[in-house]
Amino acid sequence: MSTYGISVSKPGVNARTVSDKDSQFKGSFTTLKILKSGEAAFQTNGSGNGSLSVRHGLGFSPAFYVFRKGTASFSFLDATSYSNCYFPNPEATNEWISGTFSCYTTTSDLIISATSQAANTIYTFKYYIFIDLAQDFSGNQIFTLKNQYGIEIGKSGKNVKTSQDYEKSYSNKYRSLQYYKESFQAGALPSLPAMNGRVNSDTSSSIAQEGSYVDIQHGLGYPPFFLVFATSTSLSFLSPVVDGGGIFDTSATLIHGWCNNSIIRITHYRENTGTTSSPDGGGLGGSSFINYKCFIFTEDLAS
Amino acid sequence: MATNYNAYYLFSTQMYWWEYNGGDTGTAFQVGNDAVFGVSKGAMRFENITVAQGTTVYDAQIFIWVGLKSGSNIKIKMHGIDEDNTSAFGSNPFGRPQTTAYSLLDDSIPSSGQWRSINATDSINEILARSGWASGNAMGFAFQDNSSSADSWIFDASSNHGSLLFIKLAADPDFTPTPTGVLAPSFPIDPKYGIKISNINAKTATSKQLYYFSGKKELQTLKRLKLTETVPQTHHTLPYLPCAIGYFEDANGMHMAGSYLSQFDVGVGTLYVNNEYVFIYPGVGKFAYVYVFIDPLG
Repeated sequence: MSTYGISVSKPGVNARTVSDKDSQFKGSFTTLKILKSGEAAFQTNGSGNGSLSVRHGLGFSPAFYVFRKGTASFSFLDATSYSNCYFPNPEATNEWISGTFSCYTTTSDLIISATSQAANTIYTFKYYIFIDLAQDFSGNQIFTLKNQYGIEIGKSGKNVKTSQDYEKSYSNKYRSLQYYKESFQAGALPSLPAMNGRVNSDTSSSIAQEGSYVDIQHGLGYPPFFLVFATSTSLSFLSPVVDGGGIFDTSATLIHGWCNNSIIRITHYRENTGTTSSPDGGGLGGSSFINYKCFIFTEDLAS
Repeated sequence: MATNYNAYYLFSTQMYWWEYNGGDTGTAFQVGNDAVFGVSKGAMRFENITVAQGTTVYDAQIFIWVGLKSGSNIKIKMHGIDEDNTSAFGSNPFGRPQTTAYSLLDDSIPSSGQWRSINATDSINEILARSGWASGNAMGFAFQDNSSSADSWIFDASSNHGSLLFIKLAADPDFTPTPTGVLAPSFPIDPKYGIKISNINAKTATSKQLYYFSGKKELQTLKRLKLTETVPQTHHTLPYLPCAIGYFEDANGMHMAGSYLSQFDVGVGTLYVNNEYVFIYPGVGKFAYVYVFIDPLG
């Protein structure tokens, strides 16, 4: 850490000597700063198409995150359905809820759109738009929150008074993404049975599949913003993971998460969907262990 | 604590002498250039100097009392009288041996009733170094004019002797306190303590209402940068697997990176981390933007 700046540590820990990764906050590191957040919804038309846009007006594509709100249901793993759940990154398939949606930011808007999804259906999302960049940009923000008083921390070598908000380490104009807690979980994927094969048109034949989930009792009483990383040996992937390339030693491993007022559920699931004539990639998947790191933040997805 | 300062006064007869053009007297002291009495030189004698033989004093000043005066500036050269124990000035003392050390003064003459000081440190130390010097002996000093302007003089009136010798034996003690360590205070792990920032009452805001709370850890960005098709990775330089998020470009805009393949080309949008790199594959001719956080995954 440079000689000058702010360092915040946990009680009992020397803020001058605390390591970067163990610090609560250091002014030399940028935080993700929430410009705006909210719930938004749209209804698809008869063709299952629809969209919404949230204007940010920044002049650059900002960082963002979207959760889809809905009911979690996956009878293969759990007979119970869970309402008012939040699913991260709706662009990915998720065994607990059907449909995928395109989510992206432009220099003016956050766009969430549906193509050929269920017709005449309302889809609801929770979005976060950060003041931080999702692209290279060095110009002036078109708009900024006006707040002459408060605390702002600039990057080393940058004049905090003249820096753009996206350049600052912290500004009290914006909520920052703060931890509630971290959680480590482990999941096991036992060996997947050999594919016995089925005729393409014969959907009654069994599909070799297996999966499991781990639940984190977050204790917040509301659904929190969370991130899940799945780690196997020396690789780690940001969930949702739709693995068609044998990352976790099998075909089509799916790693999903969702949360509600009480739990964060992380699911690992895989299946063999080959046919008799076209067995899926050799058919066998070896056992595998996956470690999960879940970051739970104080943000309330339901508010 | 021993006294560091001593003051000695002229307050009796045979303690001073005045030699002027054509005469001298033991009834007063004068030095300078007198329009009437001509160039004047004076002598002073201080008794009972309680400084041990061999002592090197830190500082000594003779404060010449200005009983009467003339002119605005005075120039003086002063020697000590180099004797073990200067006897009373019953006669003209200017024939007595003088110290090699001397002091010069070139300064304004203050108003009557004030003093003008001259440094006597070197002369006194020379006398103190004499083997025959003993504490309690008397010291004498000879003052001569050193080309003062016409009619510039200082007179110490015989009935109002105020000249004094001021000896400082040692430098002032250093009272600078020694810094002491203070044990780090033990703060209770209580959410009441720390820094809270919010747009509502920070004291009553809940965790999710706060904009910032020092009791909670921030997700902190180590680096953020653009990745390209040809360079889709960045060194994170950390000794552990770090947390990372990112975005990748398509024709519409920037999408969240993850590891999903259904609606994009194979591998596009995949974010993964290994011991060296954070990787996002952006697709042909496209770019990605990655945030590498300081937070570990292990």
